[in-house]
Amino acid sequence: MKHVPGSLHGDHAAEVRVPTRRALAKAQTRTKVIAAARRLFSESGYEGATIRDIAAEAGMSTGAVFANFTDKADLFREIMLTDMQNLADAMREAAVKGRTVDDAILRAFGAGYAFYKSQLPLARAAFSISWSPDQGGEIRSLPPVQALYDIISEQLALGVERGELSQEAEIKLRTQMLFDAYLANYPEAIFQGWGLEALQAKSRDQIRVILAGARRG
Amino acid sequence: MHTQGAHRASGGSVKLSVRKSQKEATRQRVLDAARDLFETQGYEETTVREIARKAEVSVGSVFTTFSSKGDILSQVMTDRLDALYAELDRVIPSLRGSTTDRLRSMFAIHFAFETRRTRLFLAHIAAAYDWRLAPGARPYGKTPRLRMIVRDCLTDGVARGDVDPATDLDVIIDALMAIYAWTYRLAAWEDADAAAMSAVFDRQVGLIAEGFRPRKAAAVAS
Repeated sequence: MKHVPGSLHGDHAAEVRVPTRRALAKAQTRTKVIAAARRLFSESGYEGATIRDIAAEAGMSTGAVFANFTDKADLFREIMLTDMQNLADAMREAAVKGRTVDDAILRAFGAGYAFYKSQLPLARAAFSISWSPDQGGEIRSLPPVQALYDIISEQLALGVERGELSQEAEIKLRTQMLFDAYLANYPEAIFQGWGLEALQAKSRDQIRVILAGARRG
Repeated sequence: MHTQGAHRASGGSVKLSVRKSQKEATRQRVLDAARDLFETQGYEETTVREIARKAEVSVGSVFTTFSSKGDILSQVMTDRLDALYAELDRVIPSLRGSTTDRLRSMFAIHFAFETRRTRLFLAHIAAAYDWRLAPGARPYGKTPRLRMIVRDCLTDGVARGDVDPATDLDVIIDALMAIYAWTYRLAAWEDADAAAMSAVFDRQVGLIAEGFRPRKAAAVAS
């Protein structure tokens, strides 16, 4: 079992908590299913990939897929959750390097666009689902999605602290507006093949306009 | 062949025009049926066969006019927009007040209009990201008329003196459009009605307007 480094630690580890063989097999199946699903969602979009296709791609039965995920939406949510978590990390890391509010938010957005640039079909599927009345609200309440909002509002709060923005900067509402503007540029990337530079140039203008009122105080 | 196929006229040009008007009638019936089905049972859940049955035409004749269900949806929305802009053309000349208030009124009319058939509109947005759509088929977000109206309003504002002439109008328009479009997620996620969406959007327009106020006026005000 070369994929289980834990088994090399011998008796000592065995006393602690070595996952059972069955738990390991299950985890391995999940990983395989998720990898296969990610490939297919990227190629054919959310609606285009069936559980059967995903099972075939992962080299297992549909039963084995359903043993791990309740349905396709569940599987997709799992992928989104992982991505959003990584996305939030990347955006936060970029934002803290910013010298001004504008710069920090622009860096965060740039990191976001760079993250999805290589997997736009997945972003497209995520957008489509986020507008569905059944699943959209649920996705919004996921912790990593909240983290994305927090990154922006933290930067705005820092801007107020540093005196770049007025005390009445309406942080909550402006955070929403900035995030809307960030998301609204994805169609350009998805449908018109905009590169990172063009997206960032547009973001820069949008950030400036949305923050302009708060700067005059 | 649809139900009116039996009415074959004999003379050449008459025959042509009859066929043309039959085709137009079929098209209209398909669009009406599709609009109602998309709204009542949802876009994903509606098949082209159901649309054909409700419109009382054959599936084949649906496909001689439309290339796909997405194409039908796109056409339904385009026709709806014609009605919306006819309404706006009537209302805009009578708008009064500041540029900010005029913008608010124009967008409020949009929110009120789209929430008459919220489910249809949300289907339209979701379908815009449908991977099956051909490149260039993206219906949502292509709102050149709205952009034009907003631009006219801002340009008038510059003339009236409540928009800073140094403002980059394109950037303001982009920001307004982005925020307007995403405000609909309140309808998708929270069942927000037109008034609730307008209330949020009005505050957002206000924040953007703070940025395009003429500098002198701002100095006088403070």
